[in-house]
Amino acid sequence: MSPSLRRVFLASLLRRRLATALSLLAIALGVALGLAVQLIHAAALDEFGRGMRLLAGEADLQLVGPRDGFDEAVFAQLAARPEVAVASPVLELEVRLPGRDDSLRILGVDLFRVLRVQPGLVPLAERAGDEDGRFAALQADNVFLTDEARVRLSQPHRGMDGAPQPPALEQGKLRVQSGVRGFSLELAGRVPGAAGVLGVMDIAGAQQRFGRVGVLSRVDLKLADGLSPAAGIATLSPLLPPGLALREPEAAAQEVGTLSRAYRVNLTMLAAIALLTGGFLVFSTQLLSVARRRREFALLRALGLERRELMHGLLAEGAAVGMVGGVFGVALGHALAAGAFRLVGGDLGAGFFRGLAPALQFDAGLSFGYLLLGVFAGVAGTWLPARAASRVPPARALRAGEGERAGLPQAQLRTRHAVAMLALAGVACTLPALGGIPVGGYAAVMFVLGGTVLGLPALARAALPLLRRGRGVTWRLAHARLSATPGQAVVAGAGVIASVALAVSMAIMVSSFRVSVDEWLAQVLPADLYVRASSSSGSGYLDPEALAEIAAIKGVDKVDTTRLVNLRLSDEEPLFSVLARPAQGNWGLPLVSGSMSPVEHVDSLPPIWVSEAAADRHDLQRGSRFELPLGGRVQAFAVAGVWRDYARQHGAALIESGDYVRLTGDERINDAALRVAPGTPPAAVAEALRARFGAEHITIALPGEIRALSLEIFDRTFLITYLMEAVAVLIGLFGIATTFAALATTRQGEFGMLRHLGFTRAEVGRLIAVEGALTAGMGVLAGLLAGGAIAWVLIEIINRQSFHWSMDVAVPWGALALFAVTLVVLAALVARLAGRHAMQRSAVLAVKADW
Amino acid sequence: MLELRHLCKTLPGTPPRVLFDRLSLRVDSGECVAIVGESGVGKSTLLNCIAGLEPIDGGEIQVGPSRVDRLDDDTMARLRRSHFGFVFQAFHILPHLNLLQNVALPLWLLREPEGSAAGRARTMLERVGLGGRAEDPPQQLSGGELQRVAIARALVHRPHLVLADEPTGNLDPERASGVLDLLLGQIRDSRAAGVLVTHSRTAAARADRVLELRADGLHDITRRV
Repeated sequence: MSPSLRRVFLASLLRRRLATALSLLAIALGVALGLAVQLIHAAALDEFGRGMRLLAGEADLQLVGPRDGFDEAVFAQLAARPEVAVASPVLELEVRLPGRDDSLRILGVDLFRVLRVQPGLVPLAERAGDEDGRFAALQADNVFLTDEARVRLSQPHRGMDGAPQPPALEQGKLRVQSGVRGFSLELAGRVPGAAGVLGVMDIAGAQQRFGRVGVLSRVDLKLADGLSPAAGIATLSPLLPPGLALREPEAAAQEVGTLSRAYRVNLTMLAAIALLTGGFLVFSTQLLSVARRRREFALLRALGLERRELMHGLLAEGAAVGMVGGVFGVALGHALAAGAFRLVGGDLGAGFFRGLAPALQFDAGLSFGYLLLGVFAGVAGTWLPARAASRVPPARALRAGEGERAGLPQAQLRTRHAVAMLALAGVACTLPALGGIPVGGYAAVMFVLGGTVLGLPALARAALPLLRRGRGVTWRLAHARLSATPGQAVVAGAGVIASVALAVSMAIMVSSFRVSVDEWLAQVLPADLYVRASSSSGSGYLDPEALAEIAAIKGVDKVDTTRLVNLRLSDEEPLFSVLARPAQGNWGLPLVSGSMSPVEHVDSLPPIWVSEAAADRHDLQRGSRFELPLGGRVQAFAVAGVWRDYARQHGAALIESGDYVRLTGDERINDAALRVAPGTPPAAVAEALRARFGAEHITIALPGEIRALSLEIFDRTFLITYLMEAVAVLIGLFGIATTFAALATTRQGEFGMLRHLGFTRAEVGRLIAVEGALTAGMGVLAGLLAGGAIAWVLIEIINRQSFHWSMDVAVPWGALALFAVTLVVLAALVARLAGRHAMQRSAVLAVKADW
Repeated sequence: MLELRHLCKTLPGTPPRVLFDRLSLRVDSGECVAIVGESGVGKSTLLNCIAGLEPIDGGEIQVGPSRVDRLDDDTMARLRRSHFGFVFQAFHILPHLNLLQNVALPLWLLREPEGSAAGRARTMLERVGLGGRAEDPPQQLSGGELQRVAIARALVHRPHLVLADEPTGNLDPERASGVLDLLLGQIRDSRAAGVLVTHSRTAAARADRVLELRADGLHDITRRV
């Protein structure tokens, strides 16, 4: 096709500026959302990976194990092997800072070995000249901080409740905590090669000061010359005790990538639905534009334009819209990502990358990929209208009187296709996850959407007779029009269906999730008061003496304890959480199957209750045998039940405290749950606890506070999904606007005739509004049905396969009804506004023209 | 029934073009007047002025007891729905309504109960010879049949005045003759006043009176056609 002929087509886009602009915007928003999610995530992963590489330095392999650490005996064994050139032991501590709710990561390192393996971690004493400075790095009480850590810790910290918390570093002394006791470390210098908030100290000092004598969390290995990491793993792995694994340093970044992948894929799918809605919008506008230009095309065809050329010209229009929308979308995506970094850092709300401050980087390949997606949406949206246009016989389109018919997209009942798609959705639901991604679930969502759009004419035909009661002429006309041309409902309503289905399904899923989380919290937090020294890998803990002191406090009726440890079951899997607490006689777990009583006949093994995620991943049920690496050996348990756990996505298990202590000798406790004697206010007990241990050394929480905080975090996690839903709904409304603007133009003759027959302008406006409301009503109805089905897929398939969480369905009926009514009213207003131009045309002129 | 007194209409432009200057006309109930004239002389504009769809610059338009030139837009719309019937060159039949619904449309506007509106529309369709096709969609009809439907729609609510703008303009001569007989017969039977604008002298000759619109006003040429 010649460039000048192509201009004939592209000029048409400029003639209908509003429709073109809205299509552009819709594609731009879809592209921008998807790209922003990818950019934010890639930057966060990159930053995380960079941090990991720095810490690993020149190590070829890392020995990793439970987060709490492992016996250092293995270090001596490895260091003596001929395959290992240097082994550098590391004790990694998440050190609690008394009075503050942030913590400091301190790495205990062996100074002589760190020089050869992780040069980035070499500490530099501030007074290197004198005698003190030379050995500063070897002194047990000395700590070295990165510049970032020094700045952060010497400033007051804003706590989660918004209240200011004291600086941890004052006059060269860093206040830290081990167990429930606080003490100071001397600031001896800097760690010039490292970045981030990090401290380094001598490993022996760290073990001693933080009560971890004989414990390591990692060993970084440099292999002998010529030995590949794979060969190293193959040779050395058989020597390791259970629960330890060798892996390449990059694997840690990959592990985080895997951890957050399901969440990222979920967000990307939401963005894809926004883009799909954009594609529907292009479809609507192109279909109507093609209908309006039938005579133009017929004339061009009569003048000798080939069918293929006509099709190409129209596809070029779609590609142009997609390309420009894509370019805007790529720019907007970068802007969104930059804005997100400024507002929330690299974390999209799920907490995988909290605390990272990555920088936005332009990724040419990714940007080009998303630009192509925009073009694809534009071309795909134009495909069907272009094909239909190229098939119209020119002689028919040129005939007088055809125009009136041309304005109406002809109804094509594709009920059979719709049913087939819905059946495919059902089949897709039965597919297992692929690499942890619920591919079948996502395919089912797409099939449900496609089937609903194709089934809309049939739904409109079935639903419209039920609405026949109206007697007003505007109602009758609108009703008759939609009944006669259900295809119009598809054209205008396709975008509405996609966006409503998305919003409704997310609303049902989030509501079900929230209600289930709330009930779950009520079930797992039955005590009156909770006391914690710090998180599982932190330096704060409660020991038997501290517990005895707690129990002795007046008003404390009963103290239940929880020990949380994170174990490594294999080198491919993320850490597995084990909770040790008294199961019998304690409060009930939120069991979904099995019971609290142990299984008696399974080789008299100790009982274990596993979370749904653990049950799914390891194919467990009551009576199954499950092995855990505890205390340096493999210990078998008998599964007694499966419980619901929303806190640990990668699996958790609960065992009896007695069994845990017997197997590991570890008597430390993370949490104590207190029941208060009747008549004693929990606040009084909390006060006594603070007086006894020092308010800055322990965290005391009431169940209500934990619930409120958990639900707040929950809501923050879903904030970004609400944003995406809002965008999709907005795009759906664009669809109504463009369709009605285009339809109103093709119907000027009709409106002129109605004005002759005695319709007032207001009545014509009302007619368009009622048609808009009816069309949107059909779209909303279909969207609600599809949304319900997609919600089921989200809850039962996608969530189960992505996160291994089950939930009870809770439909927010009131909110959905309000949403549906609001959307229908908005659609009526939008249609009325869009049709205003056509109504303003003189009735006299309107009836003169044939179309 | 219809009376125009000293009607003036000037089209804007440079220079402005005087279309009518002190034009007067009277059409009684049961009478049908045809207006002929060259293209662009203002025949259709005259119809639109009578229907209150175009403003006039002077004079009076009286339809029954109502002074059309004094009514606002909405009142005029309500007057049209009760007292006027229209027939257009391009038919303007709504494609999404069946024939019965198209004919009943003016009655819907007048809030006539559904049963009686359907009954009257059906009777009207029988009178124009389409009694057996009430439920058919318009797409199945020929041009002549579509114009019959339009005539039925124009008369179903017993208007006092029927305005027809080139009602046979899109039809072949044979069909045109039949449609015209029908239109004029129905107007006379319903005792309405009729104003028919046409290019065709043959069509005009069927009317009671034939007036030619020229730049200097209306001239009775009934005897010459």
